[in-house]
Amino acid sequence: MTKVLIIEDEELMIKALEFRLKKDGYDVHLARDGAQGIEKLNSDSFDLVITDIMMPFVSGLEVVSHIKSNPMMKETPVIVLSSIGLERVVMEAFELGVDDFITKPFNLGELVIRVKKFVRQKDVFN
Amino acid sequence: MGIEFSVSNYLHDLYISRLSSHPLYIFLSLFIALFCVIGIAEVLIYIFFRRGKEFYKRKRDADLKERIITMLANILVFNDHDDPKVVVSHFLPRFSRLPLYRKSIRKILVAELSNNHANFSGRSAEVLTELYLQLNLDKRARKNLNSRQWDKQIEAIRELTEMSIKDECDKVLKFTDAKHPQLRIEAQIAFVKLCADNPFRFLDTVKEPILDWHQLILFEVITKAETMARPRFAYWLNSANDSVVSFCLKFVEYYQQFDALPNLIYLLNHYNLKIRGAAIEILGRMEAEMAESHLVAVYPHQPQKIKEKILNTLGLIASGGCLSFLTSQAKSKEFPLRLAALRAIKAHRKDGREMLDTLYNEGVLQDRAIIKHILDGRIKA
Repeated sequence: MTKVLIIEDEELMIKALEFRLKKDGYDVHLARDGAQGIEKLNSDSFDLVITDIMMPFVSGLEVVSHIKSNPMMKETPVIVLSSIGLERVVMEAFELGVDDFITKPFNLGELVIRVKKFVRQKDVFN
Repeated sequence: MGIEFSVSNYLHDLYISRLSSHPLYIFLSLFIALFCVIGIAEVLIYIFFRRGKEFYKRKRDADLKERIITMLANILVFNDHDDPKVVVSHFLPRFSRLPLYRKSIRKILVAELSNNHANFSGRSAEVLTELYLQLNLDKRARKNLNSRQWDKQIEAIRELTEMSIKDECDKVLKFTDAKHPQLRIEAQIAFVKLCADNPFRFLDTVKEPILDWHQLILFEVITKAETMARPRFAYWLNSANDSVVSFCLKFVEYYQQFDALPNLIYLLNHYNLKIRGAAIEILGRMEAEMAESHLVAVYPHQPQKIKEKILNTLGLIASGGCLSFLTSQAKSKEFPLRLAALRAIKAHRKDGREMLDTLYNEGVLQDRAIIKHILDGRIKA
C-alpha cells in the first residue's frame, strides 16, 4: 500500500485530504506541523509527502530541505500546497527539489490525479 | 481545630455578644468589613462559576467544531462528477441535526465554511457554497447588509464574498461609495471579486475618494485575480473623482495600455498637480515618444517640480527629438532643472554624450563640475 504523509496545520484541509486519499486506497499518515512532520519522516519511510508551506514551528520549505538533503529519502516525491503563489516562493521551493507545487485554492480531484501520477512514476522507476 | 474554634468564638464575641457595647465608628467599621468579606466571597464564587461555565462551553464548542470539520471533510470526499446539489442534499440531514439555533455553533460552521472555501476551487468550493445556502446560513449575512452598524455590514460583505454569493452585487455596489472608509474598501474589494462580468462598474459611480491605502489593497486584489477581464482603464481617466483617475493611472502603466496614451497627454493639463505629475511619469516609463512635443509645449507654464518631472520623462523617452530643448534647459538658472536636463541629455547615450562634451567645453567652471558629476558612473541619480 502506498504510504503518503500529509503535513498540514489546517484541520479541515488535512482531514479532507486524508479522507480523499484513504478513499482511493492510500495509507495516509498525518502531521499537524513541520516539526511533527520531520519526526515522522525520521521514524518511517513514505512513498509521497504532501506539505503546506506556512506552518508553525518548522515551515514546509524546511521540511522539503530536510527531505531532499537526506540521501535516504531524497527520492521521495514532495508536493507542496501553498496559498502563497509568489514567484519567489515557488522558485525557492523548486530549487530545494520540490516535485510539484499546487497553489491554493485548488481542486481536490486534481491533487489526487497528481498524487496518482507520482505513485505511477515511482512504480515504473522501481 | 483549636485555632478554628478560637476564631469563631472571637467573631461571635465581636459581632454578637459585644456588638451593642461598641462605639458607633467600630460598629460601622465592623459592618463595612463584613460587607466587604461577603462581597469578595460572592465575586470569587461568581468568577469560579463563570470560569467553569466558560471552560465547559469551550470544550463543548471544541468538540462540536471537530464534529463539524469531520462532517465537512466527509462532504468533500465525493465523486468529482456528482452535482453539488445532490451531494449536499445527501449530507444535509446530518448538518440539520447540529444545534444551529445556537449562535456560537452557527459561527463555527460559517467560519469553517468561509475559511476553507478560499482553499478549494472547482466542485469542492461549489459544494461548500451549496451547503451554506441550503442551511440558510446566508440569511443572517443578507440581513446584516441592511444593518445600521458598519462593522456588521463589513462582516456580512466579507462572508458573502468568501462564499461567492454573487446575487448581492447590487447591494454591495451601494456600499462602494459609503462614507465610512473601512466599509467602502471592503465593499470595493467584494465588488471586484463578486461581479466578474463588470468588476470595475463601481468606478463609474464612486464619489468618495479611493484613499492611497485602499488603492494599494485594491491593486493587489485586482492584479492577483488571474481570471478577471481587464478593462480599458483610460475610460476613467477623465473621471471627476481625482482618486479614480490616479487609481486607473496605475493600471494603465501596470498593464501597459498604450491606447491610453492620448488620455495621458490630455492629463498634462489636469488641475491636480499630483495627477499631472503621475501622468508625466507614466508617459516616461511607457516611453511615449508621441508625448514629447506635448511635454515641451506645456513645460513653460509648470511649477518647478512638474518641470523636473518633464525633464526626467524626456530623458526616459530619449528619442533625440528634444535634445535642443534639453540643452536650453541645461542652462537654466534653477539648479535642479539644470541637473535634470543634463541627466536627460546623458540618457540619450551617444548623442547625449557628444552634447555633454560640447556643453563641457563651452561651459564655465561650475557647469563643468556639474557635467563631471553627471558623467560619473559611480553616482546614481
